[in-house]
Amino acid sequence: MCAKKNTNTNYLSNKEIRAIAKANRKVMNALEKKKYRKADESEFTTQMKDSKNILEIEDLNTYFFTDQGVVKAVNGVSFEVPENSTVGIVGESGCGKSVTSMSVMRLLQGPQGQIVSGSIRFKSLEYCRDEKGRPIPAYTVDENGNTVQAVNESGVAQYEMEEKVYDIAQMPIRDIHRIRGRQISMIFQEPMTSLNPIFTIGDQLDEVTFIHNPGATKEMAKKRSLDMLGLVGIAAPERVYKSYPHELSGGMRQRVMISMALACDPRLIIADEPTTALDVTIQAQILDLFRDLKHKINGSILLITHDLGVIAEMADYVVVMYAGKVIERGTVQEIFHNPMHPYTIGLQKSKPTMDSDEDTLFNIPGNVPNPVNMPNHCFFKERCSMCTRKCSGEYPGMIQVSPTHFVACHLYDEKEEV
Amino acid sequence: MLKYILKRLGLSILILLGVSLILYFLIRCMPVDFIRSKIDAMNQGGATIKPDAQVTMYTSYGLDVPEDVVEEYRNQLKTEGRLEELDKFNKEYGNDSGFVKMLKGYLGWLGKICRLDFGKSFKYGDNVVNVIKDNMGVSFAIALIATIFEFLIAIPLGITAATHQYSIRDYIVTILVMIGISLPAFFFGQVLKNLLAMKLGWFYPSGLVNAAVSGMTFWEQIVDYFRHLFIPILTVVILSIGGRMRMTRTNMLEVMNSDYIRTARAKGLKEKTVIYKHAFRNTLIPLVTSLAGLLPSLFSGAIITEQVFDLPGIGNIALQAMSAGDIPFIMGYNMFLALLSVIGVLLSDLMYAVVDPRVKLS
Repeated sequence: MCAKKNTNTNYLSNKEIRAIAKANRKVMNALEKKKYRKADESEFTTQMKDSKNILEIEDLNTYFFTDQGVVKAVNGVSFEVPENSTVGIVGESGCGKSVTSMSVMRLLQGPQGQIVSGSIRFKSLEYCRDEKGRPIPAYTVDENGNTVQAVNESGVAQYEMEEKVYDIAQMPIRDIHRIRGRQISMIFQEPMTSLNPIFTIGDQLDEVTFIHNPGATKEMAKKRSLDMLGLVGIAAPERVYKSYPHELSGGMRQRVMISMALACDPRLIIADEPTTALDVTIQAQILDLFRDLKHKINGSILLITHDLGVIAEMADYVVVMYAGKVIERGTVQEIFHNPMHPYTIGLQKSKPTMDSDEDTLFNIPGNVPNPVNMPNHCFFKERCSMCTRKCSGEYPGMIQVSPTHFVACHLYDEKEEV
Repeated sequence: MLKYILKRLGLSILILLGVSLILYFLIRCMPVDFIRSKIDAMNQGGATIKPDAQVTMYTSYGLDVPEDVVEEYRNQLKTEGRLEELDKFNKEYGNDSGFVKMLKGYLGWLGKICRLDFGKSFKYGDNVVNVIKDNMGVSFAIALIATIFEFLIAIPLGITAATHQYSIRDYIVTILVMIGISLPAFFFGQVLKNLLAMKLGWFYPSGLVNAAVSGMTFWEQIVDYFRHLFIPILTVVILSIGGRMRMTRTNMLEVMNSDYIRTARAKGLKEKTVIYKHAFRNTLIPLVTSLAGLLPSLFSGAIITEQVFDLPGIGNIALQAMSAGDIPFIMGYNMFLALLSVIGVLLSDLMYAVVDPRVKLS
């Protein structure tokens, strides 16, 4: 009986660990090689399925190869971000929200974290390049009738642009630099530690303009940085520009992070729990700022949070994730007024409200299954109150209940599967 | 800032006083007696030194006369009937205890130091300052060159090991460096000497200059120095790289995993800029401060290496002085190192404020 392997325990023998490590190394090395390869642009240029979207994630699988086994942090996630919209991703801690966003930025900690399969199609705005690879300047006619290079409102020189669709999951790391920071920028949840302590705010802000704008001068970068600091509601941009991060408060630092993300007019901003580490009053200020920015910038926001209130206020579309999978997605009205998945319903119920008379807050019983040994049936089965016999079967597929509303649950199997 | 430095310098004087007190008492407790060994050597040569001559020797060197010599001297005076001298000696010599004698000796030394008189070395017969000055050159040259190469080699190694963590490169660098740390200088020095000097004959196994050095041109002299000093410097460098490399690697790893490096990557910076601008500048903080702390080790000499390669460095000189009981030299030399340590610590604190904007001195 002793020889019988019990898969439910967390105990692994040395031999098993070695076998896992060996198998992992093989896969990781192949993926790392792919990540650092040199590739022609045609290899990762694709087409959008729907031209109204700015980002389409399809069947994304991001795994962490640990010595305890492969953790499928993102397990076949698909959703899209339409142009000029805000998409919120909700879910509890460890459900793969942040890993999805890190996959889009290709910021996963290698060699353990790897995008294994799937595609992340992003509609990118690239510089048109001449045959020598130099960007072609955009020209306008100034008031004197001379042809001059166009500049934006901060005086940064402009170039001719063209739209191209890239599959970020297939892109080698050497090409990702033109997407990061300029096309997609990210705001992290820890403003206290996300700024380099030994450079001034000005240095760190100017850097973004320098990297992504060929021929940007110091004055241009400074003007742009000060404009951005003003845009995020910092009262004394000149003073903040010269300060070091430790001289600012948490809320100020998060504003600086946001201004850094805005510096290159990104088409997509990923905000990974931007208010989690801040106290409530500052949270409200930062959210106000986001709401304000939504109208000011010409781009989409991917907002990751576990705060349903924030989602309800901010988002146009909501993606609900559970244990590495999307279980329900739809417009904000659909998710809040007509939640379909038992997990989404449970989430709504566990939100504290002012007009409820109950003493204890509702909570969903049980825990998320062990990420290394995921069951074959629905991951939510053990915690679900509406479980049917069908739930012991295979994992439910995505079912379309309205043009925009999708849910992965056997309760709605009579509806058409997509 | 100036106020801070002045305050620290004031404190340094107190620290140095404490150091000198402990040093002096330790040296006085050492079981070596310079005069006793000198007399023993003379006795072996066939001469007999009478107690009165011995007492004269002790007093002329400014040392306390040991009890047994005092006893013999009294007996000699009694038997020779020199009672007047005996009375005078008894009156002058007094009956101080050992501790009081040491304290008097210390205060005497301190008084001289205040007049910048470090005394004359017993063993080398010259002013302590001159002895240190004359023998410092080789040791300082070896230590300086070795430190420069140590940093030049260890820091890039540490960075590649950290940025390629758990790769084959990391393992190779770490293992080689561990071998370097574990080898004793006397063994590794001999191995290098055997290989590079004896077998291959590219370098000289020991000494600093050739006998024919006076007839050489400037460039020939340089080549000669190089062929003498290459192996000792190589030994010191290989043995010291390990610690520095591991320090760089650990710091770099810590920095590379921090949030602001992720931010730098998210900005779209190239990996090279991320490593050498954002990460390395942060790794520099502990490195630069440790550099200032190296100040005393530049002047202290490498005792074992100098022994192995028979170099006339300060480490060798100090070791010989120590075993001979040369009190003024040991005091002078150690106080010199203590002073450098105090200055080194002060410098490294100042460096913190220079490289890290979060540190404010006040």
